[in-house]
Amino acid sequence: MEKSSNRKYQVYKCLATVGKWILFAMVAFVILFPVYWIFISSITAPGELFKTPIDYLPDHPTLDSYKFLIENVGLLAKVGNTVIIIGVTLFVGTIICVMGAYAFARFRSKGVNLAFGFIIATMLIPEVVTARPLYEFMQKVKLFDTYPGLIILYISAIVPFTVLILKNFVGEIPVSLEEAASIDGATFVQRLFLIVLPLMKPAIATVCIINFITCLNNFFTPLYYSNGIQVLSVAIVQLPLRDNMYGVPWDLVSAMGWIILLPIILFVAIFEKQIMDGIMAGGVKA
Amino acid sequence: MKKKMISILLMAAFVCSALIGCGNNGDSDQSSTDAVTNKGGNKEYDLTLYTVNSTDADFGDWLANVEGATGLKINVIAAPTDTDTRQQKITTILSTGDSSVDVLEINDEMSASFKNSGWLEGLNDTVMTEDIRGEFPQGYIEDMITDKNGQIVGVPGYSGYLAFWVNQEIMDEVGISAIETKEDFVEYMEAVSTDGRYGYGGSWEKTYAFNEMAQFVNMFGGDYLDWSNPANREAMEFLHEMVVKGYTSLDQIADKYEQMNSKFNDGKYGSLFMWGLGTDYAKAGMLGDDKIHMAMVPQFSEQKYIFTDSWSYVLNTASKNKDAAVKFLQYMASEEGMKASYEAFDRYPARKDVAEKVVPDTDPSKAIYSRYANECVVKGRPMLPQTMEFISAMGTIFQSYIKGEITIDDFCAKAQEYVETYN
Amino acid sequence: MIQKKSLQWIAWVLIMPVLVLRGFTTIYPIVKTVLNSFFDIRILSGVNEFAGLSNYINIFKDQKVITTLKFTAIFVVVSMLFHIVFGIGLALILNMKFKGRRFLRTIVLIPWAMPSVVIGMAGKWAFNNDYGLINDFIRRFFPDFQLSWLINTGSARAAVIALDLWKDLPFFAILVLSGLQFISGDIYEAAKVDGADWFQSFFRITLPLIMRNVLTLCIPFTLWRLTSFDLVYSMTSGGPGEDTSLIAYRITMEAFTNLNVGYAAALAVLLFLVMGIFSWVNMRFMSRFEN
Repeated sequence: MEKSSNRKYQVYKCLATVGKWILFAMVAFVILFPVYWIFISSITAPGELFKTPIDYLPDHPTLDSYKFLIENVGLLAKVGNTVIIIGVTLFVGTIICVMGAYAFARFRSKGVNLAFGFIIATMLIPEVVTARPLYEFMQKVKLFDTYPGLIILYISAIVPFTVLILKNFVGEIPVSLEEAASIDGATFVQRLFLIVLPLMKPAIATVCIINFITCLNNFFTPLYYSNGIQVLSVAIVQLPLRDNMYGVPWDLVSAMGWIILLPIILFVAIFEKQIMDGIMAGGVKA
Repeated sequence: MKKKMISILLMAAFVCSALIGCGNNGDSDQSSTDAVTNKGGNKEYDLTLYTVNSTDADFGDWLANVEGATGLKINVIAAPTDTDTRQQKITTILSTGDSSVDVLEINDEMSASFKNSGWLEGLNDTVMTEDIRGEFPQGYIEDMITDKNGQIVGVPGYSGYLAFWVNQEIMDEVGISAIETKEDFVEYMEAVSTDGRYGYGGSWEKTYAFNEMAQFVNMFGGDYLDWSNPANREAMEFLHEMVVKGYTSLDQIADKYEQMNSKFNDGKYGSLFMWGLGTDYAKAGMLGDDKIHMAMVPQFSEQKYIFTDSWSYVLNTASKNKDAAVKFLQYMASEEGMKASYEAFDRYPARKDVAEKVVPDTDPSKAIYSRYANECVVKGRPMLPQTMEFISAMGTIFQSYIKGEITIDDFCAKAQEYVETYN
Repeated sequence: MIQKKSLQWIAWVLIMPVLVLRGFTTIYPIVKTVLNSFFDIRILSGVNEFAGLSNYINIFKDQKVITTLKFTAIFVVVSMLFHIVFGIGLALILNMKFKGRRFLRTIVLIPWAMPSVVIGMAGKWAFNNDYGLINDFIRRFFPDFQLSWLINTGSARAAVIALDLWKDLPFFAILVLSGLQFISGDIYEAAKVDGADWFQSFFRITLPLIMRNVLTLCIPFTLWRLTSFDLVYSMTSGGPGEDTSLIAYRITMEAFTNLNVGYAAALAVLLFLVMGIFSWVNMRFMSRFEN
């Protein structure tokens, strides 16, 4: 009797494992297959790009597209600019968002609520819509095509989502912890740094990663609000045209896409545990 | 409470902008010494050029040549190469009076939109002087880059034709040696179009279909800006019939040039109209007299018609470096300047006299390009001030018509309406 | 909540930086956009005059915009439904305990991190009849399959939505996953003891517990759909005809390409109102859900 139920259990377990792997294979396939296809486009010579049926193992793999990008697109300067802008954006942006989120979660008054409402409401405005007036505004205040200008816009772009997420997270931290510390004589600053911030670490890590990817892909801001300061994301639309002056070089575009993607994949692969811990710790429990 | 809040907000915004403004002045020196900085507007440059060629492999050589010849230090900004993005960006720069860019490179669509806007400096007395003006293609200069006061506002960077391309392998296979008339063309269509292969290929994506429509209207002797002309209707019905009879594929209404050229290379199309000198075919090893090559445009009506296009260098009226810009433009209009562009970017010189001298006879495009110039009526493409809106509106009804959703009468009526709206 | 009134100034010190920064970059453009919407500004024709409400009235006469609004509604609703259903599904898969989990959790972020210009262009190729990945795959099973996805209204719309899902769904799933983590294993054990099977425990326990999380996530995701234009921009240009044109794409074209600034502003204000109403309804719904 016991034996059979045990066997049943094992069969069930085995089936479950098989089922899991089938699901795994399906999901992995749907995600990776197109990604792989984009990848082989980037290592195929432009003349051999498109075949029917598709050749999933290119006959003459070549790194020419990458070589071309490195030699002609000024990648180094672009990487430099990208690192500076994103670095400052994440650093400053995270600090002010944490401050704001804490205040929004812990202090309640009409004014504070209104301020929060304002920030969330501005999320509703599509950036394309306000781009033109903003373009004129940035020129008037002499921030157009400057690092501070771009950084302000980058930070501004991540503020609403970050504040929303962090505020909800702070809301999850029991107030009693702070009250207890307060009774023990901790000052406001001590409470913030010794109690709240350590608890927020995973959430902060998570929003940093999300914001890192968002900023890296932010294409609109650098495209419209700068001419000279070039970043990686814009390079995708600055690749040389075909000689008909209209055709877009897919081989180079796909290679450029991979150049942008590569740091992200490495980053995610290396920090997978931290990222997932961060997310799992409720970082994005909205 | 609310009022108070708003006033606080506004005040804060002002204070902040003032602070940032000052802070910015402070560190702009710092950023210009920064190794990774390559931003514009700095004093160390004489001129800022907005160009689509900056990522070309030979751009460095070209720039060195231009800087050496003119003695100018040029700051280069890469323009987006994606059509819509570029158009939006350049329009924004010019329409807001942005002075950070002096010289820009614009295509016909933009020339048509901008020439009467006052954003572009007239060049009659400085660059496009009377001694060289006659050497540029006249139809093009008049149609495309002359404003309402008779000022020429751009320097054509090259001369291109919407050439007729054929696949010689297919022509040999069906035993047709030349396509000279409409009858030849139809015969070729009939012979070539069998399973999976079409006599004619196009790119009929919404914003690309315009070239095809205009080309056929032109060949039928119609007028793209007058849809009461029976030849226009005939041309459209001809295109529609080509789809119905299987001479060309309906699939191509999703295709841009990349897709079309790929299919042409694969031998799926017998012929098409295309700009440029055929780099896409060369890369696939398909360019050559026995494979894909340019041919004379078939004659559908009294005359042969062909479109020419170019990209022009224009001077931003808001520019603060006009002297340097004029110097640059003069060089671009000169023999040496055109030679440099021909050598670096394969751009066929816009001036007849220069092309004659600079392009070697071994260049396969030289013979056919001179035939186009001599035997055909050369025109600029028909465009209206609201170019892009017109182009995509026409593309939209064209796709509907080709798919049989609207009749030819509806199409012509709508088209005429658009011509009037977007003028 | 616990803070005394006298500490309010601390709150303002903390809030000021985000508020000022966000205000700095949004107040002027918003005010200007609202103002512009009452003017007939067509830069290419050199027109700039007061027009009252005519821009708003024209919206409802503009066939292009009406088609666009229809597709935008379809796009948002269909895409969000799939987001919710498959998002929860994918989150459950990512939450399973097995060896491939780590790998899967790493790769799901790739589509989301890939620049949308690249994905849009890839999409244009992928749905091509001759060279496309999709048809190539289908033809391995049905060799005679022929369909040019992007030339017919229905299939082009399906293609756009499919691409949007491929790109954004994994991100949604990851966020749902974080909600799943809060459900302690004890509840399931208890349910098992009570004889509940997998489906019962999913519908009785999991779903109700993550629903609030999912609904919250729906706010930004829906808003992002309403303001998204980049996929359509590089994949279909709104074609065939105007059939896959999204409202944000339409606004971009009017504002930047056609330079009908006043009209674009009116469309934008309208979109803003729609989004505002949506968010308000969603929040009301959520607060009812909580009670």
